[in-house]
Amino acid sequence: MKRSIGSDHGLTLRMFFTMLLLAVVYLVFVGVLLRVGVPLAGIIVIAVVLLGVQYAFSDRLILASLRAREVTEAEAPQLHAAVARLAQITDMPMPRVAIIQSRVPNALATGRNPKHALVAVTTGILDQLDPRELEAVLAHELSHVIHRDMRVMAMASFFATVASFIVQSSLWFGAGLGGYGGGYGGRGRGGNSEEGNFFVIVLVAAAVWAVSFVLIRTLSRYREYAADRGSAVITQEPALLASALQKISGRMERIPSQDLRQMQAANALMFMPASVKGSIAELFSTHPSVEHRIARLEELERRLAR
Amino acid sequence: MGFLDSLLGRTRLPPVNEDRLFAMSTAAVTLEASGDLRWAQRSGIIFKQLPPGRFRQVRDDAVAMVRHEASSDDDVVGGADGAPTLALQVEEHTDELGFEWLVVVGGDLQSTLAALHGIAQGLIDEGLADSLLAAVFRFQQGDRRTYWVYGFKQATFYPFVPTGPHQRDNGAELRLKALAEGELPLEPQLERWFALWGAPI
Repeated sequence: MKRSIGSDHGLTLRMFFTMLLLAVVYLVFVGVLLRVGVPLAGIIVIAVVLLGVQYAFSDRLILASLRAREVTEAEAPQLHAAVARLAQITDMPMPRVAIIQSRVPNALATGRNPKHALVAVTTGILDQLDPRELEAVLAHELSHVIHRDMRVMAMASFFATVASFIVQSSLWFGAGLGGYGGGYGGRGRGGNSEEGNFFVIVLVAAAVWAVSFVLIRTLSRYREYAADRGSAVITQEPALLASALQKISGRMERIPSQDLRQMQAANALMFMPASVKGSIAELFSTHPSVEHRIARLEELERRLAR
Repeated sequence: MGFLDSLLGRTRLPPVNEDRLFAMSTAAVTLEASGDLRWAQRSGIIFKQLPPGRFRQVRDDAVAMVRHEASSDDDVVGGADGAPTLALQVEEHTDELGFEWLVVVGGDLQSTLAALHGIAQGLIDEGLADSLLAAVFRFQQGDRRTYWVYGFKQATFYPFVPTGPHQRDNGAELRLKALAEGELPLEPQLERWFALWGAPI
């Protein structure tokens, strides 16, 4: 009689494999940097500080850029109550709740762990979804918090950010390349090989950047599937989230693109990315296509009904 | 949820503890003696809405179980015409957030606790443990309504004193907490003292 959603070993395996590949790419990268004699310790210290600051403040920046306003229980009693029920059933502390003034129906969650979580929804989504669909969307967002996705994605992007930093600064300071080679060459270590090393580093960094970009996006899509699944585990009704997705994607198309653009910076964090029509291939996007998400949810619904 | 679960994005809802519910059995005596807190013979279980077919099943089982509980506990009192009437009754409600309530009315605290435990057990046996939210006990302190809430996932109790729509008396709740110290397993984190507005209890 026990019907449950169970776990998706395929998804778990693909997620694990993606993280493993990413780790391999990063290890190779670090290996090359060490081999070439880059002062890696220094670079990592700088990167840790920069990314640490970014990690600590990014959620506040994103919320500020979306003009999300934290609301008290008195201001939004229904929303607070809905979030509270979900927090209680998943045994997490009550997250903070915010509202974004926008016609775009969307939602997001931030916070590195459940104690620092914040759930934000747009006025558009509050207007357009019925309470149970909204509950499914909120459950999706709380799943991101429970899975600590902010933290996982920040860690997954660490060396990719280092690589992009190297590539970008080489483009900026490309003009100073001669000086780099020459300056050290003057010490009798062979200017040509230093110059060669520099190119190797930039090329390797560019390759790492490109490969890890695809891997990180892949990981992001898997984590969206995982959060959709989490919503289904929490609500026990995958169909609710499916109908929310259906409704929102239908409405998205009719929203002026200037409203959508306001949200694009935060796309990776949103319930549904506000991509303007003619979006790039799924391979490069942070979210799976709506069709794929709905198909997975319908599969779960069938499994529950069986 | 362990480290690996969150790393691999697996959602697992926390396990349910239905047995610590019985802590209320002795605590109620102390609460009445030292806090003038009287159990108001209304207690219930709140859980997430289930698909209609499954809810009917669960409710029917609960009602049957409560009947059985009532009769086996000699809780049957004779009506005016001598026919036995049940001391325990079950009400069902759906609140505005779409959560279901099964409310046990009347009887004494022991049989109520047994009934609530039985309802929770029934849900767990059906594989619906994840749906369980809380058990709620209504108390009367003078002319004021207060509640004790037992979170099944947290396995702790906390007081809830609503004073109006979406208003609660935090001071009174903290006083109740002090009163129940050592009697009930209390929820230490105030962010987990979730309000249950409009409880039909």
